[in-house]
Amino acid sequence: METSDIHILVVDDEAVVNINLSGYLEDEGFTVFSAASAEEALELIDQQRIDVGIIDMRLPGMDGNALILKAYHKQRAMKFLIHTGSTNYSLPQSLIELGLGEAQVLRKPVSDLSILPRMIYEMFSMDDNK
Amino acid sequence: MGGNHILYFNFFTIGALIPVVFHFLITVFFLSIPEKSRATFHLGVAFFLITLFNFAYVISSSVYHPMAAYHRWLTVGVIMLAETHYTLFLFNYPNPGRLKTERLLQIPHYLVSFLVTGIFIWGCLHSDIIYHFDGHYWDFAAEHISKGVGVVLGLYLVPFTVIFIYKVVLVSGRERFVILFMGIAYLVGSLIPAVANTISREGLIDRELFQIIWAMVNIFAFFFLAIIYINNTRDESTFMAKIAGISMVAFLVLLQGISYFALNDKELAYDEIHRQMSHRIVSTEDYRPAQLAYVAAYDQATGKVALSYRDKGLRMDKDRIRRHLESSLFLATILDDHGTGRFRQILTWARRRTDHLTGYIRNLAEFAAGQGAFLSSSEMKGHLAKLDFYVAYYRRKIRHIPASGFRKGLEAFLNSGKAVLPNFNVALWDELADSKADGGLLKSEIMSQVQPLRPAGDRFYRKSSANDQHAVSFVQHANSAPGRIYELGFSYAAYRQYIHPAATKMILLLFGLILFALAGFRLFFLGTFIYPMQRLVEGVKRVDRGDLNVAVPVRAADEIGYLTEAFNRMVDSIKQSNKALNDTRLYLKNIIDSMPSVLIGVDPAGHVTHWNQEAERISRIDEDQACGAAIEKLIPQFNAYLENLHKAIRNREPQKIEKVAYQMAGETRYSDIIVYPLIANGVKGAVVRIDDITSRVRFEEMMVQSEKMASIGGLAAGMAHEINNPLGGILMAAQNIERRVSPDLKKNREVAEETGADMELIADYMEKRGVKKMVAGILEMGQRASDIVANMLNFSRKSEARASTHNVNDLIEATIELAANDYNLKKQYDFRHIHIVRDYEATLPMILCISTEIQQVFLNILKNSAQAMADKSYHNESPQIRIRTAREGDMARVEVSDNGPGMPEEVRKRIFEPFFTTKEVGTGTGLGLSVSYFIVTENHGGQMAVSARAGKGTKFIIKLPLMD
Repeated sequence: METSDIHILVVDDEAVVNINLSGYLEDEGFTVFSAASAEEALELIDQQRIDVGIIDMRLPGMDGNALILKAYHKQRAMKFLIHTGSTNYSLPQSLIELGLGEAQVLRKPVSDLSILPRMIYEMFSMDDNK
Repeated sequence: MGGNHILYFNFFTIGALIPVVFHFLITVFFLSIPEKSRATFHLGVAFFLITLFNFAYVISSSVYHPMAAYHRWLTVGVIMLAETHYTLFLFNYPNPGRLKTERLLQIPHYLVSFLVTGIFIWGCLHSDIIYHFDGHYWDFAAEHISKGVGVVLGLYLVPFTVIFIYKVVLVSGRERFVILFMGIAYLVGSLIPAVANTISREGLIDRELFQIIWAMVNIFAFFFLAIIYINNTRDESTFMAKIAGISMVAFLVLLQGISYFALNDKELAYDEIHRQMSHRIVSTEDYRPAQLAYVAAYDQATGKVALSYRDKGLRMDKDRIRRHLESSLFLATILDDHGTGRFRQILTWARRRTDHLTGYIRNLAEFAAGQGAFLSSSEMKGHLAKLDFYVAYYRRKIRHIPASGFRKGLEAFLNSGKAVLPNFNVALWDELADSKADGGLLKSEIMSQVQPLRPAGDRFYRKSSANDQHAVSFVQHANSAPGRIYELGFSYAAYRQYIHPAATKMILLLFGLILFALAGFRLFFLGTFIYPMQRLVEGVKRVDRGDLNVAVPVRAADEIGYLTEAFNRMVDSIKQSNKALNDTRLYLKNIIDSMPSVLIGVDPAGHVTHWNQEAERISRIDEDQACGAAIEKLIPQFNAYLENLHKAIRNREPQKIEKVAYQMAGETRYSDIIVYPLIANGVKGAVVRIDDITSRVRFEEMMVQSEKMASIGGLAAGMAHEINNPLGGILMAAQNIERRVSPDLKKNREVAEETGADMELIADYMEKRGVKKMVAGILEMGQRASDIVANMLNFSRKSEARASTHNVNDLIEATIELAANDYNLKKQYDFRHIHIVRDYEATLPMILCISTEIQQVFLNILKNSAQAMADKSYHNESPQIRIRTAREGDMARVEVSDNGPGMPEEVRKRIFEPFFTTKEVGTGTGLGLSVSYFIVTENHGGQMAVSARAGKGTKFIIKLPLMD
């Protein structure tokens, strides 16, 4: 699987965060889609195959948790990374049931973005040097 | 009898000796009182002078010699001084008067006394010595001067009376009555004998009666005075002395009576014996007893007296004897005959030219004429008894008329209303008209007119005209021959010798009684009274000194026995109540000592009266040392609050001074001082209560700290989200910029080619313009901000980490290792240069903790110390951190103390505040210690405190709960 075959959806209402995160992953060679809200993201998921969703929890309208649950029902193979600025965020039971754990939670600010591709490759058990 | 003996005791000796003894004993009693008052002293002196006065009478009545007349010098010399001292006594009772006033009283009294005594002595030297038969004593014929002395004595009563009245009016209460009775006793004791003396001299009472009055009044009045004084003086005296004194007075009075009757009987016996002797002498020519001095025989027929002497030294006045014998014969005849012939008999006598009986004859003739023809001998006797009284009065009056100018003196007397016998007056006028003589001669002629009509058998005395010898004489009728009458004189000395042994026995009896009262009483009462009393008094004295281990043995079930029993019971009950009191005191002391507060009792002056154990502990001053000292001397910080103490006592309101800071053993401690006034009746002072509230203040500080932390935690949690989002953006952007200017990234080169740029050149440019560094700076700064936010989140985020059991000592060791390798620390100060002193308690139980957090705490503290010590330059010592662990209750106590620069109080107070730092901006976050505090107190339920002394070092104390 080529890196460009991995479709990543970045959902963050903060434009700067969204652009930088998407930019970094594009630079890494991933195919990146971005959405500023859960609703926008769900539209994209309906149209595109998405392999990994990097999702901010606090979003206008529908929040990140609900988005993940909905997205999962749309594409069962989809994987998620939670990107949150909240200091006291803890995984809700519904997400743990989907197989998410503490390892899939990224806390803002992420001071070293290089961990992102590593985490993605890990999900697909790929060598990042490919 | 020869003149070998001159000392003969008689009734008068005893009569005078009894007051001598009495006054002398009281003198000794008063003057032997230790530390006596001035009143007692003067009373003692007065009694001594009266002793001398009475002793003079002993001399006069016992010494049968003209020299005895000089006793008068003594009586006159001391009596005025005695009165002076009685006056001074009263002056000083009940309270000593002004000494100056006393001298003002004493000096004139003394001067007058000496002057009057001098005049009296001078007068005596110019007077004859005479012998008074009625009192058997020698005297100076100095009537005028004696009267003068009497007047002065009377005047001496004036100041006494003035002081007496003054004191009775002014002194109030019981002492007024004491003065009243003593004053009356004194005046009675002085005036009655003085009056009695005068009337005895006037001849109205005889000398014996005077002597009895004198002794009785003297003893009773002065005894009364002395007893009142003894019972009311504050001077010390003993019970025994009073008993002996009162008994002795009773004895003395009794003895006075006994001696009077005993010696009177003796005299009656003497008279009877000598009447018998006289009878034999007259009827038997051969019978001439040894003491017969002379025999005078009168024959009415010849009118002559035949005198024969057996004592060759005697010379009797023959003419006087004749007149006496004639008057005796006259008396016998007028009483002897039958009533009808009595008037005739009197007239017969009138014809006999017995000139010296003129007065009597005229009087009796008139009486007989008035009674009619029949006149019984008993009626005559009744008249004679009355007449005798008046004639004796005439005799004494006339005797006192001085020989010089006698005629004038007699005329004055006869013209005065006092000459109440008209018939005698006529006789005396006739005598005056007939006689050409004056002076002594005329006096003796006149005196013969008023001689008593002495019946046969009566004792009387005659003086020898040749020497100072006297005779005791009796008249004796001849048995067979009427008209013959005898006078028989016996030796006067023999008479005195006859009375002397009886009087001597009385005197011995007197001394025996004194001895009995003084010594015998003591002996007699020793077992029954004195000994039990002494034991009781000893017991009382011991109790008085505070020794309660006294039990006086009870000897008899009498009053003293009862007193002793009662005393023992009282001592027991005192002991019991003392014990109860002591128990209560100890109990209360125990309570006060058990109080965790310093409790100090103070009097209104601020002197300590109570000092409880806590006070001892805090001040390190014993209660014994503290009591009596001023409170501000013991507790210097109290100095500033003395006014509060006084205010509390003055206004009876408690005063509270809160949170007084003071330095002790190098640390700041806090106290609340409360001053409670003592408001119980009669008790003045206050209780100062000092409570050490240091730990409470520390706890409050801690609470404030925790509150601050908690609010910061809440704030931080809210802020973190908002800050983390933009911070994430910044950091991501910076990373992307860093990557997208790097020629290494494939995509960069592709885009550069597309845009016609050279990635190498761009990189070169970026490098040269420092853009790369700037971007790295953004990353670093962003990272630091991120760290701060993360640190702040420590205040809110309960660590997810699991607590596990650890040994505190091991945790510390691990932390020391960590500190030694800490790169950031090394930059500022090499931790390995610090000497670490370990003082671990090896058997410390395990604690339950999150090891990383606790290590973080220790590391923070070690870092803090190391950084602080870096700022201090060491000279004689080297930087040192001492770590001590110990068990404290159910906590592990860790002390980390350094010898760094320490910190001022205002820094210490704020050291756990977040963002509080004394370091340069940028060196630290200012969160290390506050996070440590949060970890210890919030996450581990422990305590954390810091104490510091500027210049000496800092000490952190951490307490963590132990497992067990």
